[in-house]
Amino acid sequence: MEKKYYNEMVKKFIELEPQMNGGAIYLFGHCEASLTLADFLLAKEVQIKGILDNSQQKQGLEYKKIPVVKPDIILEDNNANTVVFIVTRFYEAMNSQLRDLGFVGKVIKLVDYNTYAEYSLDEEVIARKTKRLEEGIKILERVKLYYKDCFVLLCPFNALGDIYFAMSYLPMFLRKKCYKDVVICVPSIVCGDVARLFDITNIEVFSQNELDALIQAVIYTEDKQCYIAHQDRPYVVDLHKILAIKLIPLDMIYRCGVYGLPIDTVPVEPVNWKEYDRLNNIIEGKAVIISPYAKSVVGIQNDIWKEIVDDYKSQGYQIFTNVVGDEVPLEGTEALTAPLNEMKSVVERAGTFIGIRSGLCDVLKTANCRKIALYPDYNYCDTKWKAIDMYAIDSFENIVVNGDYKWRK
Amino acid sequence: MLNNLEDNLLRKNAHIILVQLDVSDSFVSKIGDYLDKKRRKDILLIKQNKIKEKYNNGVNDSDLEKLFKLYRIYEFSDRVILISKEKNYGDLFNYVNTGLISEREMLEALLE
Repeated sequence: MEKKYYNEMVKKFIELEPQMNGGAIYLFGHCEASLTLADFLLAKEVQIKGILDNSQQKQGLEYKKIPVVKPDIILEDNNANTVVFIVTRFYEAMNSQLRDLGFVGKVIKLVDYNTYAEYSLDEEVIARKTKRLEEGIKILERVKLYYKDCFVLLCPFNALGDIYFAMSYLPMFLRKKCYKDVVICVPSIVCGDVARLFDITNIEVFSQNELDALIQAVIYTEDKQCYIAHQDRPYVVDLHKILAIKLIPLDMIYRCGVYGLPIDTVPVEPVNWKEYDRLNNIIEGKAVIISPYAKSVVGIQNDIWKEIVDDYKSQGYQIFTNVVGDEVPLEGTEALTAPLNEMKSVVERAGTFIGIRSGLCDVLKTANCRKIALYPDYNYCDTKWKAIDMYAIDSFENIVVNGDYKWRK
Repeated sequence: MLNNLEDNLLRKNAHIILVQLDVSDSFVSKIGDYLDKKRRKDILLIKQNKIKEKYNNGVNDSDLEKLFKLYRIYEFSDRVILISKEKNYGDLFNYVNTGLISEREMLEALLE
């Protein structure tokens, strides 16, 4: 979970805490954000009775002894004191499902992940959403005025991997659309950094709410000079629905689904790399860069990272943990922070990169060194496909880390 | 009026499929045939400016235009599906056009 969302979640919970009357507490949605919330609540010694989830694959799992159960279990605690906390973008759908079941307790959204949805046709809601749309139209007009004759590509979600895929196929898509110049609209500076790797110079960074409003304006106006490049956002995009019946890896989803390009289209590679200015601090070919953190992926147990660190230490390797912001390096390793466009030089100098499967792995796809991606054993969204089915990278050693996993020396 | 839409459409149907004008009548027929075969009477199929008569719930064209417009302003329900050919985002038609899936698989993904 991103830090700003974490802070929002904590603030909202603290505001609500005095109103809680000792009823049963459930979370809805077995995902990274819910597990982060579970950790937060457990640290405050708040008991969680269950994690509701519609996925049959997830029902029966446990997280820190909290069972994952089907949503209608909530009816066993169907009273006004029961609370269901939701920290996913599917709050509206989940709330609606619980109400359809007849649940009378509280359903509380702790993080506002999704400004597109509000399941109501009340005049007040329509007026509010119309105002948001009007703000989006103003932003769209400003962008188009400043970047005259440019194609406007909107990347709705703050994830490096998504931007990487979007950029990999953009030149061919622009040719198809008969546009030469493009401006990329992204929700964070680091997403803009990924676009820059592909030599994109026109980049506009918006807050998530502004970008959502801009995207809503593009949906409303059906402006053909604009394009939304994502596989499952916002709500009108249906590409992910195919995953209910067929496995299509993410790379193929972007190539064929998002952009409609031929199956054999070859992605372009990032070119705009720079060299890390402290490469001399890294022992050439005898160092390992470990990247254990990812903001939207279920984490890997510390024991596994410890095994990896101990293994490389016993072989005399210099070991770094790639950290950003207030992330803490793994015990017995040195912290390393480098700009995104210098990370390739870092891992190539070190010789080995080991990371949890995150967007950083996509960014380092073309690095010339040993690369290992570790996949927590979870299903992609609510599909029957595992994360490794969707995200495996050809140039990496792809390894699933399940409950029995031991680092092979 | 919007309450009328809510009562007549959203509460009466498991899903509503809004089909824009740019989608061919033959494709709309394929959706209709698929729904008939699956006996999905709870799914309302609407083509812009034209309600399939057998599913008409007494909602007039003007209200339906408002429904199409509203769905482009915000997601007011997760039981609405918008089908359009000329979109400014990727869609299941792209998979069909690139040969990755069949039209039958597209209908299955969309409607099941």
